[in-house]
Amino acid sequence: MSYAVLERTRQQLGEPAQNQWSKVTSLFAAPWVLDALDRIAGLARLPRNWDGYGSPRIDPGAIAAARRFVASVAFESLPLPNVSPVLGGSVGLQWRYGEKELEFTFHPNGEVEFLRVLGADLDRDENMETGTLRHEPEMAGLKFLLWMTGCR
Amino acid sequence: MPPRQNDPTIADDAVLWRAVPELQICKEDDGRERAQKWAFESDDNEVSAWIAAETDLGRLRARFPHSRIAEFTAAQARECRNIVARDPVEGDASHVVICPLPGKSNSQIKKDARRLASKAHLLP
Repeated sequence: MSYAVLERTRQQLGEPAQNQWSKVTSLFAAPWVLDALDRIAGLARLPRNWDGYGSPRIDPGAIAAARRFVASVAFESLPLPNVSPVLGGSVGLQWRYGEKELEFTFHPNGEVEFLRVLGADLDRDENMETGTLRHEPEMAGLKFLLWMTGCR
Repeated sequence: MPPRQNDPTIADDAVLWRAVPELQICKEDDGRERAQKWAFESDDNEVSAWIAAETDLGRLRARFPHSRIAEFTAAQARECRNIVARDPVEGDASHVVICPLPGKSNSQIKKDARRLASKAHLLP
């Protein structure tokens, strides 16, 4: 079902969308998304040893996972993420929003790690959080991104 | 192999260089470029660097053509709960490795990599 159909349905129902979800549903046309998807796909062209330290080529599964993730969190209020190759064939996405920062690493084994920066003073341990998104990484990642942009 | 030991002959004010792939560089809000956390991670927890006073910048740049050089001190690496140890490779005595202190958790290793990425500055 396209966004246009969903939008008409919502209007017909006469129900005002909740603020945070209106931002989520309006994102399907977010201008940064195609650029991010292209940049992620472009990592497949990197040769072996792209970093000079002997890293393998970027894993196609990690690329696919990162692209799925971007497609599922593509809301307008997000900036374009930094897209980076990561050692071991992984893909990194990093968003910065004021003092807040979110970083996701998509590994060839399907694991998705995150690093969340909550404040500017990095010498305070409590200003950083790390972990692994074990289940439904897109949904967990979306929650983090909504936190970052202040939508929740 | 025995665990790496911090090398006290590498002074705290020794300047270290690490080659950072251009694709692992981001911009801060103020426009300043910095290395990303991933540039200070390694599969085996041994991050390569070179003692600036004992190597040649041009040679390092030639060896890592698609990279920038990040500069930081041994003290900054140690402040991030790492040891700095010599690791001569292929006749290059200036090569060192930056390793987490024994017992450091994986989570702490990542946080400290992010810290060190912020402390390092990229040479023009």
